[in-house]
Amino acid sequence: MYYECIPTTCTYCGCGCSVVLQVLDGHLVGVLPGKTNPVNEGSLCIKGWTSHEFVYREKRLKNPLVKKDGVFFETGWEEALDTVAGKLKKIKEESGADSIAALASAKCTNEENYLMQKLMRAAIGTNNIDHCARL
Amino acid sequence: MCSARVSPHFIIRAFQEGADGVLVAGCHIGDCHYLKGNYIAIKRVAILRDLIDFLGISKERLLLEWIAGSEGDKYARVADEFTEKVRSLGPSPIKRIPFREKAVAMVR
Amino acid sequence: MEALKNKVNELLESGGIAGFLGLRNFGSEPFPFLFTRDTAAEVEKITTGAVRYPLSKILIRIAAVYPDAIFGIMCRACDERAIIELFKNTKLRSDKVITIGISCTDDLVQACKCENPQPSNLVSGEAGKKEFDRSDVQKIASMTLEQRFDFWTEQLGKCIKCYGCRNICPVCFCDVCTLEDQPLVKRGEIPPELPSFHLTRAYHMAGRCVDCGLCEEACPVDIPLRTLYRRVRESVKELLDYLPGEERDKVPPIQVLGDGLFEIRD
Repeated sequence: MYYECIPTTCTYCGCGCSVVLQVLDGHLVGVLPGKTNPVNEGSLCIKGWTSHEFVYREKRLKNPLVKKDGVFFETGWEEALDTVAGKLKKIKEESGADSIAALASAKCTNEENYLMQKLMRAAIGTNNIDHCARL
Repeated sequence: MCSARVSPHFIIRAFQEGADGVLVAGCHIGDCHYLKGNYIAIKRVAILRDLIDFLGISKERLLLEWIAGSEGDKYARVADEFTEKVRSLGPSPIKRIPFREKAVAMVR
Repeated sequence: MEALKNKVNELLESGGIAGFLGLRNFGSEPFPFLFTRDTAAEVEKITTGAVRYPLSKILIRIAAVYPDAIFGIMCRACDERAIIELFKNTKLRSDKVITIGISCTDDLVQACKCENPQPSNLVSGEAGKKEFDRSDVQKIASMTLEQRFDFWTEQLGKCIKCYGCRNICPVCFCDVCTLEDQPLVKRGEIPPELPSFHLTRAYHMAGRCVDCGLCEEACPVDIPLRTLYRRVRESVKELLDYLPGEERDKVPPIQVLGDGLFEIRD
């Protein structure tokens, strides 16, 4: 018998509302809004209230997938990253850096988004970077 | 249909769809085919009347009346009176709420 | 606070309860936690906190997994009222729950202005003052019908349908919710249909609402939900003479086939 609440940040958008994950016997069973947090002051939107539901969903993506002959296959990170890096390099050589664009996500942290634009600007060499919050 | 079958959701739905008044008619107390069904109806309607009144829809728009199956004349009289009453109250304020589609169109 | 700690430790050590649901300081902020014998060291961090979490609702979830265990629960007066209603609705068992009353801080009493901020079994804190104030209901009741309708249309029109009021409500416990019933509530429409969405929820609060105000606290758009449900609570008192959470032995009138109300009262 073990129940505790773990405060964390909602993963759904850039607002950064505080959610409290309810853990019962090692299983995530629900969320509550963080009452003491100045960001959301004890309230959540519908996405925040259901932000725990995807965790145990069967369809949740747990491994990287690589498409071979039109069909997705589960694979390891090494192969997935090699594939992405190889293809990006090839496209850049064939069609130039500006033929590549990246969309960053509000569900990632500030730091991850910073790294994304750094990758695009410094490694690939293009300014084609945008963010889902701007769409 | 037993008056206890008239869920408050039906009444709320009727108002939402633009009904100017809702009349719930049931068997007399003590005369219920299902023994106590009308007791449920009266409690529900009484609370709902208070509630819609607090939300700004006159409680006179919702009426519960005991009309037995054989009381055809009473049914006609009550329906007539209630229709007159509702007519004097005017259209339901719910019809005044700007339609959502219109609001969406304005934003676009 | 010491009295509360001692009481919890005493109950855990004696084996009187399997767990105690209360608030624990996690970092510097209070969050719900279940103190058990295995985690007795955490009792040091117990706090009454200045915030309220729906502890009784959490207890339903835990008790569903451990139906035979006896639990202690830290409760303010509003939690206690909710627990009494949950007993009546068979969501908790009165022989399986021990309530440990804590008093509300003066700030909370001032902010909530509830009818009775005193739990019956007060262990921690002093019995404070009552600041009952129902001027919010009176203010709206004194408006004309038209003003009232416009007021609520404006307020309820802000709704973003987060279901927070339902999710946090300690006496909302159904497995299947009317508000997610597709024929009644259309999916993906914001705001939801006015006023039927809120009217439905308000009606469901009849004979249940314990006036804790968590709904209004959880509302991201500050709809005065508590005022609405307060009015429902009051009409149930006026019409059926039942005040949810206050009367331990009285059967909730809406849930039973009862006599005693023969005429439509105005």
